[in-house]
Amino acid sequence: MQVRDIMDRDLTSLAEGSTLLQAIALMAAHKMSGLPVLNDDGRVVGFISEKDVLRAVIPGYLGYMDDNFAMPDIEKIKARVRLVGNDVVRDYMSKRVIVFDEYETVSNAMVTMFKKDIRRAPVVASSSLVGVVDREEILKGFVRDNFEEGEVAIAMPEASGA
Amino acid sequence: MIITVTPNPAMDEGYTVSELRPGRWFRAKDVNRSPGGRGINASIVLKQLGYDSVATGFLAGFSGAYIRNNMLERGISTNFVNIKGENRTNTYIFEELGGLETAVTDVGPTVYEDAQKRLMWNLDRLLPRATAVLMGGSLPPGVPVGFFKDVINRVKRKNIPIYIDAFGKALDLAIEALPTVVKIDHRFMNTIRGVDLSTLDHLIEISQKIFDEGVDWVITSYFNHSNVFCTTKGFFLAEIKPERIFTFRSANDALMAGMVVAREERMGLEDTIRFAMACVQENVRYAEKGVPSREAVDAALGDICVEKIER
Repeated sequence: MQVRDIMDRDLTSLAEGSTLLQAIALMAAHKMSGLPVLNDDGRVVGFISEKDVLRAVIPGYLGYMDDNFAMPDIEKIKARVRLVGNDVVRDYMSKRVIVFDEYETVSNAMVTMFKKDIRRAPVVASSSLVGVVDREEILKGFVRDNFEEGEVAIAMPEASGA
Repeated sequence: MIITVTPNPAMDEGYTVSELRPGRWFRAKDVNRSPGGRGINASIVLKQLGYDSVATGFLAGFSGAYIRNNMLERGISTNFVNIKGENRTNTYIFEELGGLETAVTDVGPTVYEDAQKRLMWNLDRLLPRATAVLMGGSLPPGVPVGFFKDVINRVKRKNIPIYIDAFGKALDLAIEALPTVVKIDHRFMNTIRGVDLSTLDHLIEISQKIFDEGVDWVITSYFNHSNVFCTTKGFFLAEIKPERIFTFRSANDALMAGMVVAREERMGLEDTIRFAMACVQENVRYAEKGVPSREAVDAALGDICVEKIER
């Protein structure tokens, strides 16, 4: 099975010059946790995730949040969103983005995604965006590819009180 | 790559009932649900004919999510703009007794300017890779009547052929921008530019006018089974075999998808007409949307009657 067989063929994406606020709005409207960033020729030049946006809005806070006593100051965050909201995506996206060719095997893609700890990755055909894969679909594809139907049953909890 | 634009997508619900009478309740014998709207229907037919397309337009709410997921399952690429509200649900009731179909179409969500801008932005991104653009249908509230004209101008700047199937003022304006292929949908309009569309003479007259303005192909429906094609080589009347017709639900979309494929494959003029009509014939025979396969369309080519109209 190849990536093209399981990928999401939705081409929702951002431009390098899109603002962070536009990125947030688009992620929310499309319920996507990350979006590919394209240049004017439709080539993938980056990827921006919710985490990248969060990092831009509250730099340094991510580590600080691990502390149980950390209380983020919402007013400060609001001010920060106003400050960086109109910054361009180019400045905050991951530029060394992992991209799969549409003919890449699902197994290879799975290994790469786990190794590099990425959740979503763009899929390209001759450098142009043709889709996106996420770990969930990759796992599903891997199971479908390597196990007989029925071999992997969904475990249901026993009914209680019977 | 082919781009389809559906400004007002829908969830099409087709119910088959034995008998339909106003004022009574009926239980459906069969329900057929599919994503709909001109461009989306064409994308489905294109896929069935072996052609990839990217479906674009505006999606909203529960029906929008259904449309997106169904397109994904069919392996069709999408690049819709998500907006607030709810896409249309169009209801088609097929009555077995009289063999008649009754349809009620919905209005659609309000599309605000920022979403329209976003769609144009998406289109500009896709156009460098496009070989054809196909669009049509109704416009949802909020979208200005010059929408199609605007898209045609954008597409024509890139020298890409553009196909439109629409009606009313939006079509009138679109024609001014001189698209490559125009299908006049007169289910929703009785006249165009004051010309009544009921007789063959009038269809020819108005097609000729639009052709003279610079549109390469002008197609109009003539009764249920035929279409009049106005082309560089004159007028042709093409007819499908009037047997086993189930629904004309997405016949025009099959016609337009067929036109795109025929022209992508550089078929000759009469072969193009025959292929597009074969798509119509294979579309109207089944409740399921689109055509069964490319093979079925190829096999139907012999059923199509194409006749040159001498004037």
